[in-house]
Formats: sequence, structure tokens, C-alpha cells
Amino acid sequence: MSRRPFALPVAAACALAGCAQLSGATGDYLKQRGIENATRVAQNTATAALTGEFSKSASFSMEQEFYLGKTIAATVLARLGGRAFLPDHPAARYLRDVGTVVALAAAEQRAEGDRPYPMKGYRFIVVDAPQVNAVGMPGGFVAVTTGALRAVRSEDELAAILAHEVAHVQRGHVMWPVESAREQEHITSTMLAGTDDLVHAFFGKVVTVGSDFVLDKGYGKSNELAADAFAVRILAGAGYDPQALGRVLGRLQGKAAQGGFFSRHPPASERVEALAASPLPTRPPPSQQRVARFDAGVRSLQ
Amino acid sequence: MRSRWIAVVALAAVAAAPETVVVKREGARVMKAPRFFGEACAVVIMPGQRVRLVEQRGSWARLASPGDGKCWLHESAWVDRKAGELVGNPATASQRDVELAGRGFSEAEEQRFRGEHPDLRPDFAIVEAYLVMAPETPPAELARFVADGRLGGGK
Repeated sequence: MSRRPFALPVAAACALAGCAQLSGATGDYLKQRGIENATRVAQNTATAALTGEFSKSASFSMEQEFYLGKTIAATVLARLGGRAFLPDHPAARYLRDVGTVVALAAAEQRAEGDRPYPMKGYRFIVVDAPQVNAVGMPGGFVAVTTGALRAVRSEDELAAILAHEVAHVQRGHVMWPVESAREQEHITSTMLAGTDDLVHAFFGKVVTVGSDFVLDKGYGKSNELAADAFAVRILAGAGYDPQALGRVLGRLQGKAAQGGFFSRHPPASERVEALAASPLPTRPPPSQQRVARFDAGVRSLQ
Repeated sequence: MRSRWIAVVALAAVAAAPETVVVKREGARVMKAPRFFGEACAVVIMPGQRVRLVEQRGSWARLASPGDGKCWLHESAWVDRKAGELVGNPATASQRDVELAGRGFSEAEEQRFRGEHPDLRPDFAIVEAYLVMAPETPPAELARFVADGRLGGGK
């Protein structure tokens, strides 16, 4: 995990220096305030460095992650633009069953550094929206559009999409931008302690805009590829076809360009290529029941 | 040589020492064998419950009770992460600084956010409906789903 704890403090110092440069136009009062602010920041920086304030962790407990995730889930549902199916809809119940298998198979392969299991378990939410889209969120909330459900051709492919999102949740990819933003906020407020409220407001806004940017941009290429690799292991552990992820990625290649959260990912061709680098075991064909319940749960949408 | 044996015995004693953990998550599964895709024990454990572990095997632990020493719990039921303590430097920070730096996420924080975003009320309602009505598939149903689909990784 790369961290740049000094990025915002340096920006703060530059901004304060800028305040001092404006003094000719705005009078001696602002000049004096600028000098006082800069002095205070320098003192705070020295104190924080001595007390180890910069090295403090911003990790979240499972309870904090739950409340954050719940709020993000509501926001994401609104942004996806479609109404969500009620939980007792057959498609929602089917998604829950497949998702539970995937989530438990992932938990069986828990690694050091993984996030704790979601406090209330996973929730798999169906959103009635045409775009091919799925997103894993903090706290174990996973939203899947009807567009994505219509795009998959088997339960194994649906499990592959869910496994990728569960991988993001379990590996902590969905929490890193939040923890990083919180650390930045902590450092900024520590350094700016006692300076003008206007400076606080300005930097508070920068932090908010910055965290929104990181959240919207996605989890980064390396995390996406790592989630794919873990998803394949989850599929194998669950008894699904590990090759299903490569299949669905290859077929969605064109649709990924339509936008939505899939647009954050590296190109599908690159992901398929990365998956192909490791030989994947083959599985026997799915049982008739698996095929039948997929038809009932997903194909009934069409 | 003798001291080496003492060290080995001491290490074995530590490894075998019963450990008590506090269950953190809701809906934790108690299984008859150390794996999720199998038969569940007919017992329920709740968040906040203290359970004594008598044997550990990988990520699984056998419980003293409930289940009369015959049931297994996965570590995901109790493993949590300590929240980072970002509280600012009290020597220099104002109350607002401390609030900014230490802001975590809690039910109160969620309520404040909801008050500021009334437009999200229907979306919060859906999330809450899923929380209440759509917990992960219960063990008995899941066992059928796994068996019908020939899933479970051959375990």
C-alpha cells in the first residue's frame, strides 16, 4: 500500500505561502495572519513529527466499515439510476444463493491482511438498470444490474462476476481509498490546527473532492488484476468453473466500453491475457439442476 | 538437551491452551466439520457471545460449547480489525480539529448523513430491506443449493 502522507501538508504550506504573497493587495492584516498561519503550521508539523502523529493508522473496524458501506451502498444505488428489486424477487433470491457460495469460498481462503468478514454478512442487491455493471462495496454490499444478469450465460459466469467483487471487498481494495483519504484528513487537520477557519474549510473541501475522485476512479489496475486472480481461486474453491471469468470477460469486452463501473477496469483483453498466463483446471459440466435454476433465476428476466 | 525438551513441552502447552474469543459477526455458521460446504450444527451463536476454542485447524476452531465439543467455527466469526486512533494532537488541536481527524463511521454518522441527504431515503430503504429480508442463505438451504449444483469444491 503506497501512501503519500506529506502531499497535502506540502500543498497546505504552499497555499499559506500564497496567502502571504497576496499581502500587498490585501493589507498588513492579511500579511500578519499569513505569517502567523505559516508559523503555526511549522510548529504543528514539528510537534506531529516528534509525537509520531504521522504514522498513525486509519484502519476501520468491521462495525465502522458496515456503517460506511451502508451509506455508500445507498449512494451507489441512487447513482446506478434504476430501482432495486425487492429482496424476495426470484432473481434477487438466486443472486443471494450464488453470492453466499462465493462469499464463503472466499472466506475459506482468507489471507493475512484481508478485511474482516462483513459484520452482517454479504448483501447481494439486484438493480434494474440496462448497463452491464457490478460493484462491491465496503461492508459486504454487492450491487449487480439486470444488464449484467442478462449478459451472463451460466451460473458459473454469474459466480465469476460476484467472485471478482467479493475479492475486492475481502482484499480491502474497497477500503483503501477511504482509509487513505482519512489519513490525509488527519494529517491536514493536525498540521493546520489553530489556523484560520477559512484554511480549514478549503482543505476540507480538497480532501472531500480527492476522496470522491479516488472512489470514482476505481481501485487501480494492479488491484483489478489481483481481484481477477483471487476470483479464479474462489471459483475453484466453490466448485465453479475457474475458466468462467475469462469467458465472461472476453464476451463483455465491447460492452465494457459502455461506461459504468466496468469502465474503471483495465481492458478486458489485458485481463483475459493475465488470466491465461496461469493454466486453469477444467471442471465437469454443470448439473442439470444448476442449469435449470440459472434459467429460472436469470433467464426469466428476459 | 533437557532444556530443549522443556521448551518443546512449553510450546505444546501454549498451542493446546484453550482460547476464548468473542463472536463479532451476525449469522456466523457453526458446522459439524471444519468447512462451510457441509452439514451445520443445530445451534445458534450471537454477536457478543464468548466461546471457548478447544482445537484449532487452519482457520477453523472446534468449540467447547455450544455443540458439546463437536462443532466448528470459522475465524471470520470473530476476527476483527482494531480501529485506528486518529484523534489529533490534543496539545495543539481545537475540538473541531479533533472531530475532523478522528471522524469514524458509526450509526450516528450515518444518521447525520441521511439528514443532509433526504433524496437518498428510498435508497436507504432498499438497503435496509436487504439487511432485514436477505441475509446470506441459511445453512440448510445452502446445503441443498450446493448439493443440487454439485458445488463445494469436491469437499
